[in-house]
Amino acid sequence: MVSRTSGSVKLFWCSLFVAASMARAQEPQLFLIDQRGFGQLGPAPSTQSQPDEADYREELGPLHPLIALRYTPFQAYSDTSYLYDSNILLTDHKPVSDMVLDQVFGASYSPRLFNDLKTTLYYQHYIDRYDSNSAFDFDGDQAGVDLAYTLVKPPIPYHEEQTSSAWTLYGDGSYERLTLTTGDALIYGMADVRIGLRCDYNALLPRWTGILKPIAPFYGYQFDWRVSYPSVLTRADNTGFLGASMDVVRNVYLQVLAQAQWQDYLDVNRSDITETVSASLIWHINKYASLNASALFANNNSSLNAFSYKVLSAGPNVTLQIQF
Amino acid sequence: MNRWRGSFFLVGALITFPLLPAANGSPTALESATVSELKNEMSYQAADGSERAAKVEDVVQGRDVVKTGGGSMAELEFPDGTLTRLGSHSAFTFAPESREVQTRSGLSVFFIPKGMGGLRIVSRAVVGAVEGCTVVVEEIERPQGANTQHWTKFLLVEGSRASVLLPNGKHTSSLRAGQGIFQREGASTLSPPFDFDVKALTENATIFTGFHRPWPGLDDINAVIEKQFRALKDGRLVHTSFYWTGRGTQQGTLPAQFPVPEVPGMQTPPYNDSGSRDGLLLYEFDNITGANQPTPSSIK
Repeated sequence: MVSRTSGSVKLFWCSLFVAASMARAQEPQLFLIDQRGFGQLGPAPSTQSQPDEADYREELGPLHPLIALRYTPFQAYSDTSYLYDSNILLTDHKPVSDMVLDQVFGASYSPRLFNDLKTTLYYQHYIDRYDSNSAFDFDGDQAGVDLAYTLVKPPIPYHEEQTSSAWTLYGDGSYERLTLTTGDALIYGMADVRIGLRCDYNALLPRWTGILKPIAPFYGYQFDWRVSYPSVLTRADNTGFLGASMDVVRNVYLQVLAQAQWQDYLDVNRSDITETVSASLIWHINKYASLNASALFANNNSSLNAFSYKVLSAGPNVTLQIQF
Repeated sequence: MNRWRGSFFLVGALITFPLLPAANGSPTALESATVSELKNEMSYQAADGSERAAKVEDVVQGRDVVKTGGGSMAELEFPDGTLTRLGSHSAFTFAPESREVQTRSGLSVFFIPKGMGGLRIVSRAVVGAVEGCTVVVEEIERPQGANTQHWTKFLLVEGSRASVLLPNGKHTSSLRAGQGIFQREGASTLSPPFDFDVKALTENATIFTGFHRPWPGLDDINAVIEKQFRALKDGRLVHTSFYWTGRGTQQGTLPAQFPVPEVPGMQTPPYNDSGSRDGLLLYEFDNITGANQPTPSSIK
């Protein structure tokens, strides 16, 4: 009896956790696009001026180094997070908090098929372990293909006319399964088909020093069709998102993201609206490693009150990657 | 018939032989240069130390040190078609018995025609051997405590024949069009060459566009720009997020602009999915230019 109850709780929790983790898992997709800075040459040079600086500037243009990129379609990565989770059961009724270790191992291959179409095949395995609630531990596997096509390209500095925004159409098809840590029993399976449109543009943020700080805001819309096992969790998601990234200091940048998601469960009479805000401070140690401190708050309002919840998740993350 | 053929070859040889030294690249000394255009103030200092103001059509002899004042530019033409333009606060001189010029300060731009024996450019930090090309040389002074540190930008804007080496003759490196080197005087090793955006450097530069005479290497410069544009377009080249203006002492950065989709299969630089444009690109560039000595990116 106990084990049956425990199994039900697991399934209940896992399904909800998966719902939340899906929301969290959207972030990488939203950030898949290269954030490299391009565009008009905006800010004033930051170093000391010289008496006839204007003469110097006019007589010769800026010396702007270029970097050649190597063709390295393969990537292997490891992503380790240790997070505080304020509500691991995702319910407002007696929330339980815990620390969770989330370890992801992954590999991807990005063949060069067509110009302007980014194609990535990927597989990842993840391991989630709880400090105090090990009954909810699970493992997972995910495989899929990402596609991203640039509708409006950003300009090449100096060579092309400025445009105010860049638009990217992206899609993803993936299959994911979660299993118990003992016995490899399937507790959740999902096939996800995703399509989204994202706009990136330029902005300057005033600072107290009076200097304008450049930031890279973005916004977009994403649709997901998630066919799930158990089928009661099959749903269609409509997501609007808004965010920005900016440099803080050398090698450190800040990303903030807000999103609103309407989840329509297709096999049961249920719909949820989830608002999520998150912030990440990322330090790129080198091209193989980065350290990340992130926080996420989600508020879920469900048509079935039992599924409404609030959750805060925060903690450090280490990413290691190699490309070849 | 054979006699006619022999006479024909003899006449041909007589006509072409005097041209061969130049066509073969045999050096013709840079004995003097004519001031062909002048903006504001220029002077030249003779070997005896006397200094006189220069005017258009003055002939400058070898060993004279040519100097420009603030807000000034000058153009000098050598008999073999070699062209030199100087920016403000610049000085250079040349050796009459050889094809060697010395850049002492400021900005110097050279056009060296093909088949004239090339040119040896002696700057503070590097020596360049060039032919059939356009070269930009900038001398930069940076106060470093009580001393002054000198850097040299040596940039091959167009052309295919250029090599640079340390003043002591060690560590040779070849440059291709659109590549340059940013070298600290006194460094024991040569910084590796890096690519730069030729259009950014030249398009609105008065040293190229502010004179009556169109720059002789303009067509070749445009060809390099077109080639770089194609490489930028298909993602083989990307801009770093920083650039240098002025005499290389002012450093600017590209703002955090909207992103660029990754190029399928191309290497994802570490800054790609993160948005950290500046620091990591500097990191990348440090790796390119060699981190074992102060690099240009460390100039702030």
